[in-house]
Amino acid sequence: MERILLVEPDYRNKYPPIGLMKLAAYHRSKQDYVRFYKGKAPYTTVAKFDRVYVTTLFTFYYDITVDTVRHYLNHVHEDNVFVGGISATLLRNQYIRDLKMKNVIAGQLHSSSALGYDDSINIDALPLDYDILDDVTYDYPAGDNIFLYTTRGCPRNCEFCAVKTLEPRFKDTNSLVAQVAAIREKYGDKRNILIMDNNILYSKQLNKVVRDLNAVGYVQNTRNYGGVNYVEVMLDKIKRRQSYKSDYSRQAEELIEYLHDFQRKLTGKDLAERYAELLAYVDSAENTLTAMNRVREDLIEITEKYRFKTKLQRYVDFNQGLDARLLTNKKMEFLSKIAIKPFRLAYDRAADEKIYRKAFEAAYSYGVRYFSNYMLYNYTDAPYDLWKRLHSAIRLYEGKPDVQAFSFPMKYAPVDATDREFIGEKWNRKYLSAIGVIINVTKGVVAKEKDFFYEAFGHNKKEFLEILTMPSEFIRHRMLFKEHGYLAKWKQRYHNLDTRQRRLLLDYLCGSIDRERIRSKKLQLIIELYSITKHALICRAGHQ
Amino acid sequence: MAKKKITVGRSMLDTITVALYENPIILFREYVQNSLDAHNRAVDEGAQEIENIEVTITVDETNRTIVIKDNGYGIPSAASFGERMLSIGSSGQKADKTRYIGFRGIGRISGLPFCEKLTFRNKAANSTTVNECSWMGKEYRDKLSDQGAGGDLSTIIDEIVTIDTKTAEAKDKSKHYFEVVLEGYSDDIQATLDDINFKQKLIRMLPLQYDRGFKGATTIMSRYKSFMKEDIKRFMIPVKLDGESLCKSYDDSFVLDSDIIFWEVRGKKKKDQSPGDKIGLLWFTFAAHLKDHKNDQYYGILTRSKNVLMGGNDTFAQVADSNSSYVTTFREMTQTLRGVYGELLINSQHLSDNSRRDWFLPDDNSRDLNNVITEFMRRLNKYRYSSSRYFRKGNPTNTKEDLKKALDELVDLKANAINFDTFSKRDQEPVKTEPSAVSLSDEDLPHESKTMKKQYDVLMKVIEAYFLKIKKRVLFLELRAFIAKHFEQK
Repeated sequence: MERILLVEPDYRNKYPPIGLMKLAAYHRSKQDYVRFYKGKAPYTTVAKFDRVYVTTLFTFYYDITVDTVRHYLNHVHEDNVFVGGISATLLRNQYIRDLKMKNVIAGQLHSSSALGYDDSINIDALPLDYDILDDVTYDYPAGDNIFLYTTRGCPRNCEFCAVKTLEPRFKDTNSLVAQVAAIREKYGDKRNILIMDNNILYSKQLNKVVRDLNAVGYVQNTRNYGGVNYVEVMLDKIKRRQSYKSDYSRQAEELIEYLHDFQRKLTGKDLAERYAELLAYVDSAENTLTAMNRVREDLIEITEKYRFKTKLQRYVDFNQGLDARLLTNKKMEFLSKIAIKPFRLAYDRAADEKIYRKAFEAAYSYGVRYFSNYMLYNYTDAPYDLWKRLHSAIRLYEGKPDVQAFSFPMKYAPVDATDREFIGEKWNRKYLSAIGVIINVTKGVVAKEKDFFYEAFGHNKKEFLEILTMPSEFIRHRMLFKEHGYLAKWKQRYHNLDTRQRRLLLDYLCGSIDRERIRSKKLQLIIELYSITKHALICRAGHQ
Repeated sequence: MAKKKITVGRSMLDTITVALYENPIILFREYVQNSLDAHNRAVDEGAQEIENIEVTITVDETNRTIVIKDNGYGIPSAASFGERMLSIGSSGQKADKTRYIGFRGIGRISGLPFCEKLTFRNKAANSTTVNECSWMGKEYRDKLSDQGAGGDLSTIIDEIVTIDTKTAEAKDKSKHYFEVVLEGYSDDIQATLDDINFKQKLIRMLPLQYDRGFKGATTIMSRYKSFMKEDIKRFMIPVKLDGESLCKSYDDSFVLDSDIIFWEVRGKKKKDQSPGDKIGLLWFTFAAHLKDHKNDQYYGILTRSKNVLMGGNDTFAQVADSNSSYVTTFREMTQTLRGVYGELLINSQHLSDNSRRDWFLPDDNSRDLNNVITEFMRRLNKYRYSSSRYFRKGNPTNTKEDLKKALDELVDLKANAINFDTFSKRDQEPVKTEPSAVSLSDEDLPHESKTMKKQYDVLMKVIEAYFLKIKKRVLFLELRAFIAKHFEQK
C-alpha cells in the first residue's frame, strides 16, 4: 500500500481538479491511502506520504505552481513527486528546467506506466473520485456537477488555443450512460452535467450523445430532478471515508448541525416528538456516528418527509462552448431535446457577425434562452472590434425579453505566457486596463441591457475610445464623478487637445513617456485629473 | 621522490584559537563537553558509570583564576596524558560522531588566548602521581606578536608547553579527576563574568540536565528516546558553578496553552519512499494568542546538537531568512520567535557542526534540515498572524475556522489531541499570573505606583547581580527586607 498525496496549488479556481480525481480513483482501486490537499501541506503531513502528485492549471499561475512543487521537493525525493496537467503540458521544459526534476508529465495519462506502474491502466478513462474534494475546506464553485467527456481534442488549429497541444487527436471516449449511472450510484444524484468536450459539434456521435443524455434524465422541459436526502448522502459519504481511513470529523459535525437545524422544519406534533427523541439519543451517545447509523432509517424517513422535493429541470452545460460555425439547424434540432444552460458561443471577431447571428438565431428558434458569449480581445483585433461585437450581440437580443445573455470579454495571452501582461498589436496598456475596470464592475460579464451597455461602453467608436482614455477612477465611479462635474471637466479638457496631444497623453498613460517630457499646459491640466481618487473627491466635496 | 617538507606556521595556532573562540564564554562549553565525552568514552570502553559524575566550575576573581574540574576517570597513564595534551586537531573521537560531542580536538586549547597560564591536571584512580601540562599563554602571545620570530607550529608548542609529574598526596590515592586551570585570566574573561546574564548564558549553552521541577522534561526525554532510539541523558552532565547546580531553567510555567508539541525532524524522504534519516526532535510550546512577550534568555527554539547549544535564540529566523523560499521579513520572524519556547534536539551522523558551533556545514543534509526549519517558521508565523487577527480586541478579522486551519498546519490538532474550543476561547484575559512571575517590587513595595515599581525592579536586578557576584546573597536579602520595612512604615 502506498500513501498518496494529491495536491492542487492554492490558487482560486472554479472547477475541481479532474485529473487528480482520476488519479484518486486509480490509487484507491489499488487500496492505496489517498489524500487531497490544496496548497502546501505542512511538513508533518508531507512526511507521511510516499508519493505526491501536483496538478497545474493556468500558465499564468506559473510562479505559485513552481513554489508549491518546490515545497514538496524540499521534503520528498524528486522521483516521488509528479507534476502534470494543463500548465505542465504547455510549459513542460520550463518546469523541468526551473524545478530540476524529471517527472513532469505532459498530456493525458493514457497509461499508468507513465507513473512507473506496470498495470497499464488508462487513468484518463477512469471515473472521477468526488470524495477527495471533501478533504479540503476550499469550496469549488462548480464542484457539485457531473463532469464528463464524450470526445477529446478539436480538429481546428486555432493559434490562440491550447487544445491542439493538450489533446492533439480528436476522438470519441467512453460511454456516457454508464458513467452517469456509476456516479449516481456512488455519490448520489447530481442535478447538472458539465460536458467538457472541446468541440462536440464535430462529433459524429452527437445524436447518440443527446439520446444518452435523454436516457439518463436530461430532457428539455422535463422537471425530474428531485434532489437528494442529505442525511443519506452524508452517512454514505462518511461510511466511504471510514473505508478509506480518511478523516470524517468535519462531515460528521456538519451532519449533526443539519439534524439540529432540521428540527425547526417539523410541524406535526407526533413526528416532532419522535425526532426529538432520536436527536436526544444521538446527542447523548458516546459515539454519535454509531448512534446516527443505528437510527439511520428513522432519520432518513423523517427528513425525507420534510425536505424540499419539488422537481427541477436538469441542465446540460457544454462547458467549453459550441462552435458557431458548425451549428446547423439539423444539429440544433438534436440539441433541442435537452435543456442547455448556458448555451455558450464564441464570438471572436467582428467579421464573424453573420456566423454568430446564425448560430444564435438557430438556438433561439429551438427554444434556448440562456446565452453566454465568449469574446476574445487583445489578439489580432482592434479595440473597436470588441465594441462592435458587444454591440451587435446586444442588438440581437433586442425585442427578445425572454433571453438571458451575458458576454464575457476574454483577454488573449499566448498559451505559453507565464503572466497576464501580454499586449496585442492593436491594443495598449491603458485601453486594456480600462476594459478591465469596466468589466470588473460587473464581475467580468457584460449584461444584455442596452442602456447599461451604452453607459459603460459609449454609443460609438469615438465615445468608446474616449471612455478607455478616461482616468480609471472616473470609469469605475462614473456617476459620482459626473455629479461633481469632473466628467464634464475631463471631457472639456480632452476635447481641447489636438490629435498629436491626444496621442502624447495616451503614451503618457501607457507609461511609455515620462511626465517631465510633457510641457504643454493643456496636457498638464488634464493629467492632474488622473490623480483624483474617489476618496479624495469625497473629501474635497465634504470641505466645500 | 624526496619527501616534501611541509611547514605549519605559528599563526595557524592563532587561527584555530582566537578565530574559533573569539568569545571567551565558549571555553566553558569546550571543557565541560570534554569532561562529558571523556566519561562517556570510559563507560563505552567498559568502565562503570560514575553515578555522581559532575563538573565544577570555580571562579576566583581575586586571583583571576578559573578551575574547571570533573570527577571522571582521568587519563590512565602519564604517557597517554602527554600524548593527548600535546596533540591538536586529532581528537580520536571521529569513530562515531553521534556518540561524542567533540570531534576536532582543538577545544582543549580554547582557553589559551585568554590567560597567562593554562594548566591541565590529571589524576587517575589508584595512581600515586598527578600529571600536569601547562601552556604558557603569555609566552604564546609574545611569540605571536614578535614579527621577526620564525619557527613552525611544533617548535612554538615545544617552547610554551611544559609537562610534569608530581607525587599525589597519599590520602588522595583513590581519587580521580581531571581539571583545567586558567590562571591570570584576561580582561575579556572578566567582562564575560561581569555580564549580568553570564550564568543564564552559561546555562543555555552547556549540555545540562533539565530542572527537576520541570515535569515536561519526562515527556521530552521519553519522546526523544522513542524517536531517536538513544537516551539524551548521555549528553547531560551535572555542572556546578561556584557550588550552585546549573540546570536548564525550564519549569512548568514555561509550558503554555498548546502544551508541549513535538515535530519529529527527518531528512528528505528517500527515493525508495522510506523515511528520511532522523535528524532530531523538536519540542515547542506557545500561547493561543502568540505574541512577542518573551524577554527572558529562553525565548525561541534553541537548537542543540548532542545537547550543546548551536547558534542562539534567533537561529531559526536566520535559517529561514537565508532559505530561498521566502517566509516573511527577518524582523517579523524574530518577533514571532519571542512567542515560543522550545528546543530542537539534534543528533545526526549526517550533519557536521561548523567549527564555531553556530550551525552545520552546508551540504544536502543541512539543507534538508534548513527546509524543515523554514517550514516550521512559515507555519508558526502564519499562526501568529492568524491569532493576532483572531484575538484582536474589538474587531477580530479572522474567524475561528481560519485560526483552526493555521493551528492545524502547525501542530496537527488530531495527533496532538488539542481541544480547539478551549484553545480558541477569546475571553481568557486577564492572563493568570504564574507565581514565579511575582516581581521584587510586588513583594517589597506592593503599594507603590507602577512607575516606581518598574524602576525599582530594574535597579534591584543590577543590585542583585552585584551581590551575587561578591557572593553576598544574604546581604541582598537583608537590604530588601530593610527597604520593604521602610516603605511599610512610610
